[in-house]
This record gives sequence, structure tokens and C-alpha cells, in this order.
Amino acid sequence: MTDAIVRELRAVLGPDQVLASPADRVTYSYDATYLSHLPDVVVFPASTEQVRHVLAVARAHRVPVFPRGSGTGLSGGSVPLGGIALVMTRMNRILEIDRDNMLARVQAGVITAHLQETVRAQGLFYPPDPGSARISTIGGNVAENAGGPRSFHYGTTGRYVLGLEVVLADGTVLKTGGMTTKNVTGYDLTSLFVGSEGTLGIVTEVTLRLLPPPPPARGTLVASFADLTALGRAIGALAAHPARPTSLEMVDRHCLAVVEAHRPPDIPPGVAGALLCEVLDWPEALAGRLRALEEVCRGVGAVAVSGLADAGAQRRIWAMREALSPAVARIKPTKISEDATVPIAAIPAFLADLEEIRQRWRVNLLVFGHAGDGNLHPNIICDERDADEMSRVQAAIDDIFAACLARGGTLSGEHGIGLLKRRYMPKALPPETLDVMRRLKALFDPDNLLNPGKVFPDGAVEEPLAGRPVTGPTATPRVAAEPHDKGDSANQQPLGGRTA
Amino acid sequence: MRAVEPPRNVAVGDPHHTVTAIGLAAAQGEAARCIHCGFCLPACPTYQVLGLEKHSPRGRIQLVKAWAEGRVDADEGLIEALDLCLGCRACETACPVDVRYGVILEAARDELAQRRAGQPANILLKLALRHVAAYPRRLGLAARLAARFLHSAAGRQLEMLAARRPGSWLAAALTFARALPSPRGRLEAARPSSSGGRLPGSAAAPGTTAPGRSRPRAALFAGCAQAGLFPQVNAATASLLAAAGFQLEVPAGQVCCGALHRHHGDPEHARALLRRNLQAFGLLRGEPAEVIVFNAGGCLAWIKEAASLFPAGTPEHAAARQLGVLAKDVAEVLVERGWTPGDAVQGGQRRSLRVVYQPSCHLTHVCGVTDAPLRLLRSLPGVTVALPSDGGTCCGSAGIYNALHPQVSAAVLERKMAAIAALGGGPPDVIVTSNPGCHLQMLAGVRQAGLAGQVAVMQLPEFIAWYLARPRGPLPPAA
Ligand SMILES: Cc1cc2nc3c(=O)[nH]c(=O)nc-3n(C[C@H](O)[C@H](O)[C@H](O)COP(=O)(O)OP(=O)(O)OC[C@H]3O[C@@H](n4cnc5c(N)ncnc54)[C@H](O)[C@@H]3O)c2cc1C
Ligand code: SF4
Ligand code: SF4
Repeated sequence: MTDAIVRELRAVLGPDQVLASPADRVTYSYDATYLSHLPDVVVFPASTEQVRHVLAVARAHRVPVFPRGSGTGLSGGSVPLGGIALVMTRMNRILEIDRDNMLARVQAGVITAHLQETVRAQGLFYPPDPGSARISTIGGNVAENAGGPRSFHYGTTGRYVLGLEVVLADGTVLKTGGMTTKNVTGYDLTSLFVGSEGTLGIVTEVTLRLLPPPPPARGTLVASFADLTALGRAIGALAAHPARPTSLEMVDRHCLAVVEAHRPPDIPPGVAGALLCEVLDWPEALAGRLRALEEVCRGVGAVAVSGLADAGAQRRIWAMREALSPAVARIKPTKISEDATVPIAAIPAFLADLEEIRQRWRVNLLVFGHAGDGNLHPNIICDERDADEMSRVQAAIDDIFAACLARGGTLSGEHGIGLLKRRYMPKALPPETLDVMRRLKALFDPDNLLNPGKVFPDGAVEEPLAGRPVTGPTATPRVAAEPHDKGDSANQQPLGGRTA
Repeated sequence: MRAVEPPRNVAVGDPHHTVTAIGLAAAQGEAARCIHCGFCLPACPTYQVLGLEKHSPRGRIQLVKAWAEGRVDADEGLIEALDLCLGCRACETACPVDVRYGVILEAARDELAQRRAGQPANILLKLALRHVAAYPRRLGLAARLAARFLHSAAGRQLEMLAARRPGSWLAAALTFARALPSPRGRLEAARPSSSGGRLPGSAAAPGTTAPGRSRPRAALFAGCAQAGLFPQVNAATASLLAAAGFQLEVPAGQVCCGALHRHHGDPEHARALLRRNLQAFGLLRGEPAEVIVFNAGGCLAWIKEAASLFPAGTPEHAAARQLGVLAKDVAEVLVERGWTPGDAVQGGQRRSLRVVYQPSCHLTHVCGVTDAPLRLLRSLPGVTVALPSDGGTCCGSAGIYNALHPQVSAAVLERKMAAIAALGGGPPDVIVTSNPGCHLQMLAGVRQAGLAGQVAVMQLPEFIAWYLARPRGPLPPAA
């Protein structure tokens, strides 16, 4: 079976673009979560036409296709559950930068930072800034509607997508949107594909809106709070103020404890948490704006505030932020990073919930995230080899999502549902909403060939953590391993692994 | 995709592999710390050139982990992935959670080396490393023989064959062979004299003054490739150290550092060499110099990690650790001494020189020496210094990687030359490196990019000494 498929794929793509060795299958079995599952074959299409060919083979043999960009996803979205891993990195050309219309047309496999740098060199600006920009692809960003710190001011990837070229499961090459920022000609199909996590079609080309560069002067506001209620109030007050910053990030006291060695003098010891904001403005306006924002923080009870325009002082703040990830990783090997997002007025209450969950389940829970968007990233630091701890972690995660939903929030702000969060979907969405989503999926992909097993809760296992295999609606033929293939044992490997 | 012929018939051993638990266990433990984030992907030259996850640090780590856990075998794909790693360690600097990739790679390569120990190619490599590479004189002789062969009738025929197949293994291999210098007659100058003492031609560089302070003892590590192929670099290093007021020694009895042996699965020989160096540099007697100066980033990096060859608690282990502490890069030593070559230059008009500094990967990623070389170069009046636009990633030399995998090495080098061209303003006057392997590679790169006769390639001490000797003179001789 596999042999026939591999042969057909090689006939249409060429031998270099179809790989099925154990080493290739292992190295395309994961994303940035700890989930992994071997694909049967890995393909690297170089054109829209080749994507169509792959889908034709997939249809003929009813083999599932799992689109993948750079595999930096944090929800298991590109983890293949057998079948064909369709890797888009070879479609990495910037097709056009149209300065007059301020837009770029790119292939889906273009690396985000490559686009950012290329347009910057032409005096333009592509705002979405996921932390993974140097690695992630534009296609992956579109499929997850990726955000970043500056989304607070500039919005997420979707705001910049003007049009798409998408290959549907039946081979149709669909063009959505166009070249204009305003467009009400029929349904907004572009937005339907944004955040669709590779379940509705393969994005092959993206037309993106560009902006003029932000003003050149950079300032940093850092404000510390003695209690989380005050910190939560400050988030709301900063977001509502006319001088609102360009980004609005938070770190709680558990994070500050981890990077105590890097704590800048601007943050007094022992505070409950701090807000770190970037402010971009014109040089002559920066100082005034920083002062106004300092006032806002003081008004809601900050215990220390500094508006920094000095480059060295700012560097200390962001160096502390950068030191956080490695410092956290040193505590324990497993990091479970959630993406719960709540309306901003609910942040103080949600932070209180998180503190209670931390104590209830005795887990090492830290919060650092895009506070201005209500997009908190509760992170649990644990050790997957400790079964007792992991069962408490699982309980804590269940509680985090329950609390998040109870506060009017949502499962994911920017990482998507993928495999990790699908089992919470029925709790997050009314049955009618989920049903319409299913009908849309069936309309675009009646044979359930594209990224099956993702997003929808069908067949999701109860415990996605550590060591349990993922079973899902991949009711597709299990493609037999190649004769020489010993690597198949990897299929029994931790599917429901940890999340990164 | 750039097609790389996978090595054939290399899968060896029992397919149900009996993993030597101890070695791979270390790799497995470290690999478990990798969070799959992919931050190392853009830093990895082989991923950038080959575009496949198995040629990325994340991919290699996951492969080794799968191997250690018995999920894959050491088959062609895994072996190819590990063989094609440059070992440049750029991934370690890029990793946000400090995964020590070097530990993983070394353990996996040791395991592979054991399995491949009986294969003719590996026996040959081991012999070549033991009996040629470690000896400056034999290395120089081999380089001269290679040059003579290339000029012979047979050599010219090979060249013609290669010209018809651009991008082939042969064409790539010849690119590197042609770059080999043949330092006829200069060998004696470079070898540590049997009695120890000063290198000929190592008088203090003209126009410099030694600071009027105490004169600490500095022992020079002469190296094998450095001494055999680029003896002038050792002479220049000695002259700079003398100018900075050090009492220089070149201990007799010193030998190759053993890095190549260690990285190619011959730890026994590496251990024997290290023991001899511990002896030669007075570490076993407890009378080492105050600083042991290296001018090859690759050797220095290995020496800093080499104590692991001896069991903890042994005198050798303690001595090797002390060696690791005393061992320093020449630029670091000069900067710490407070000696700035620019200060030694008298005023007056100087011609402007555009220098590209291509650092040694191991100097950057293992030793963390990044500022000192730039500070020295930038102190020279009229000299503008830039890193290649890629920030100075691996040039593809990587020990003897260019000899073992010439095609991939040539592809990495091509990107490097493009990164230098991307700086704009035409080719630089000089490419300065900090390791003999990089020196060789950049010589090949200059030719490959069609810049022969336009760009000089020098190592850092060599360039500074040259500059101090003739600040107003002509450009250094181009490669
Ligand atoms: C250290 C780190 C920091 C991160 N920071 C952020 C952040 O600040 N903000 C943020 O939003 N995310 C962040 N992420 C998550 C991740 O980088 C984003 O989700 C990113 O958009 C994924 O891109 P990718 O190319 O790696 O896609 P992959 O992980 O390969 O795939 C992601 C999803 O997209 C689908 N897909 C990929 N390409 C296509 C295509 N051409 N057509 C259809 N479907 C496709 C896949 O099927 C999958 O469902 C971070 C991740 C890491 C590891
Ligand atoms: S050592 Fe260099 S070549 Fe090897 S994986 Fe790391 S970055 Fe890539
Ligand atoms: S950067 Fe570090 S943690 Fe991330 S994939 Fe590479 S080695 Fe693993």
C-alpha cells in the first residue's frame, strides 16, 4: 500500500520530494508540543500544481494529508497521524512586493522573519510578530491566526490577510479576497480559512497588507503591583487610555522569582506581578506619552513605575524577559504552555482563579503572557516522568479551562486547538456552533482527508497527557510500513505527550 | 533540494541494535531537555542548505532520542544525518533552554564509531588522523604532494573531468584540494624547537612597545594544521605576545590537541595526545605558564572540554581541567593584558582597508570569545571591520568536514561567500579568520567566488602583525 502511494507520489513530484525513510518520518513526526506520531510518507511540493497532485493521490487512496509549515505549532496541529505529511517549506518564494499598493504576495512556506526583513528593506512593515517569527511560515501563521506582543496594537495575522490561494480537498484551486483592504464582494472566505488549522484546505499563496514602519523611538514602561487585582485594573486602564502602549505584557511573581538574578532595579522585590509595555512613538512625543502612562499606573495603585527612554535601561527589562524561558526550563524538563484567553475586564478574577488552582493541585504554575489581549499563557512546569505530578497537572489544566470559560473566555488566543485542546471543544462552544463548523468541514472536505483528528472533539481521548496514544477519526487505511522499516515501532510512541 | 548522495551500505550491526547504554544514555538525558521549539533551525547551516528536518539540530536530537529509545535503527538516514552535522555548535547558542547539543552529538558519534570501527573507510580515516594529520611536518608534506599531484598530468585530467561536472563530488573535492597551501621551507620556523624557547621571526612587532609591567609567562600552543600549513600565523602570534610584554615559551614535546581524533571516534588516541600535552605544558608537574595561548579556535574549544577524557578524581583530570582554565585565545589574552595594537601605530596617513571577520564557530559557540577579536581589529586606524551578513555562521570547514563531505561543505561555503557579498561595496580587501581550517576554507571560497587575486585571507594574529609592520604599505597579498 505505502509502496504504491510512494511510487505514485514520486512519479508526480520527483524522487527528491517524496521521502519515506525512518529518519525522515521520525523528523517530521512532531511540532513544538511533545506530541508526536509518525507519518507514512513526507512530501515537499514546490508548486500549487504539485499540491494538487498530492491531493489527487490522497483522494485516490483515501490517505489523510497533514499540512505542515515549520512545525513550531503549540497545539499539535501539524502532527501527522499516519498518512502524508505535506511540508510547505519548499514553497518559500516572495512572489511580489507591491510598494504602490502596500502589499506582498508570498508562497505559504515563506519564513515570517524573511518577509519582515525583506519588506523592511523596502521601507515597509509587516506587523505580526509571533515569538517564533524566525522559524514559522506565513502559511502556519495564517492557519493559526498567529499573534504576538504587538498584536495588542496591530492585531493578529488575520488582519493582514487580503487574499488567499487555497487548494481544496477535491483539487479545486480557490482564490479568495483580492488586493484591497476593503472587500465585501460576497462571503468573506478569506477569514474562514484564517485560523482553520489546515482542516479546510491547503494554503498555497497569501496576499498580505503592509503598513508604513512604526515611529522610530522606542520606550518601555514597567509597572509593579502589590496585588493582582491592582495589576488587572492597570491592564484595563492602560488599554482604555488614549496613550495606550504598543504592547502590554505581564509576568507574575512566580516568574519574577525564577529570574530574580536578572531583576532590574525598576521592579522592587516581592511584588505580585509586573506589566512590561513597549511604546513606539516619535522622539519628541515619547517622553510625554511615557509620563501619561506612568500616571495611569500610579492612579490604579502601582507600587513602582518607570517610563524608560534610555536604551540601556530598556535592555535590562527585556533581558529579564528573555531570561525567563531558559530559567523556567531549568526548573523541570516539562513545560505545559496554555493559551487561555479572557475578556480583559475578567483578568483580575482569572488571575485569582489561577492562583487558587496552583494551590489546589500543588502545581508549579507561572503566568506570563499578552495581558493586553487577555491572552494569558499559564505555564505549568513539571516532570512527565512523575506520574503523580502529571495527574495533578491534568486536573489543573481541566480547571484552568473551566475557569477560563466561566469567565467568558476562550480556549485559545493564538495557538489553535490542534490535538491538545479538542476535547474541551464541546464545553467551549454551543452544540449548534460546533455543528455548523462540522458542516463547513464536510462541505470543503467530505472525505475528511485534510488534517483529520484535529480541532473537532470526535474520538478525542480523555487524557491527552503523557504516554497515551492519540486515537482519532483517522478512519483511514493504516498505511503499512515499508518492508525495511523498523522505525514503525515509533508509532507506539507517546502520542499524547506533553505540550511544550 | 540539493541532492546529497546518502552514503551506501553503512548500516551495520544487529538491526535490533544493542545500544551501548552508557553512551547513549547521556545523549538521551540531554535530548529529553529539548522542547522541539525549532529556535535552532535558522542557526543551523546544514538545515539552511539542505532544507530537511533531519539535517537540523532539532531533527538530529529527536533522531538520537528515537535511536536511544529503540524506535529507529542506526540505518542510512540516521547515519547520514549525524555525519552531515558540522559540529559547529551554533545550535547551542541559539537554544533558549540551553540544550547541550555537543553532548548528544558526541555520544551518538561515539556509538556510531564503535559500530563502524571495522569498516575499511573508517580504519583508513583513523590511520590518517593518527599518522598524518597530527604531525605538522607530514601534513605540510601531504599538502605539497597534493599540490604536485594537481599539477601533474593525472591531476590535470581530473580537473578537466571535474570541470565537466560542476557541483559533483569531484569538483567540490578539488576546490578544497586546490586551496591547500604548500608552505615549502617554512616548516622549521613553525615547529616548537626541540629545546623549547622562541620561534624564529617572533621578535616584537615593529613600532610596538611592551608595557612596563611584569612579564608573565605565556606558553604558545603551536597546533598541527597551524604549524604545518600556516607557520606564519604562529610566528605572528609570538610577535604580538612579545609586543604585549609576555615572556614567550613554545614548550617542546607538545603535540596535536586531539580534537579531530575525539570528534571522529578515536578517544583513546585523543587521550594519549592530551596526556603528552599535559606533560609538555608542565601541568602534571604543577608548573604551567600563567597563560597557555591558542590561535586556533577549534583546538582551544576542544581543550576546554577535554578533561572529560579522564575519570574525575585522577591527577590527569585535574591537570586537564587546569589546562582548560589556563588555555585562552590569543585575542582574549591580548585584550585582557590591555594591549591594543592600534595604540602601537604612530599617526599619519594610512590607506583604508575593508576587513571581513569570519570567526571560528568553536571560538564563538564553545569558548564564547566574540568581542576580543573585533576590538583588536577595530583599533587599527583605517580598518573597517564587518561580520558576514549571516553574522558569522559556519563556513563549512568544520575540521575535516570539507574533505569528508565536499559537496555539502561547498554548498555551505557558497552561502558564506554570498553573505560576504551581501555586505555590499564590492569584495573586501581581507577576510580574517581565527582558525587554520577556516583559513583554508576561505581560501577555497575566494576562488569559488571568482575573487582569486582580489581578496587576501589571513588569520587574526597574522593580519595584525602584517598591519603593524607595514601600516602604509601595499595591500596584503591576495589569495
Ligand atoms: C518558542 C515559540 C514561540 C511562539 N510564539 C508565538 C507567538 O508569539 N504567537 C503565536 O501566535 N504563536 C506562537 N508560537 C506558535 C507557532 O509558532 C505558531 O502557531 C505558528 O504560526 C506556526 O507556524 P508553523 O509554520 O511552524 O506551522 P506548523 O506548526 O507547521 O503548523 C501549524 C498549523 O498550521 C497548519 N498549516 C501549516 N501550513 C499550512 C498551509 N500552508 N496550509 C494549511 N494549513 C497549514 C498545520 O496543519 C497546523 O495545523 C510560538 C511557538 C514557539 C515554539
Ligand atoms: S552543530 Fe552546527 S551543523 Fe550540527 S546541528 Fe548544530 S548548528 Fe547544525
Ligand atoms: S532550540 Fe533547543 S529546545 Fe529548541 S528545538 Fe533546538 S535544541 Fe531543542
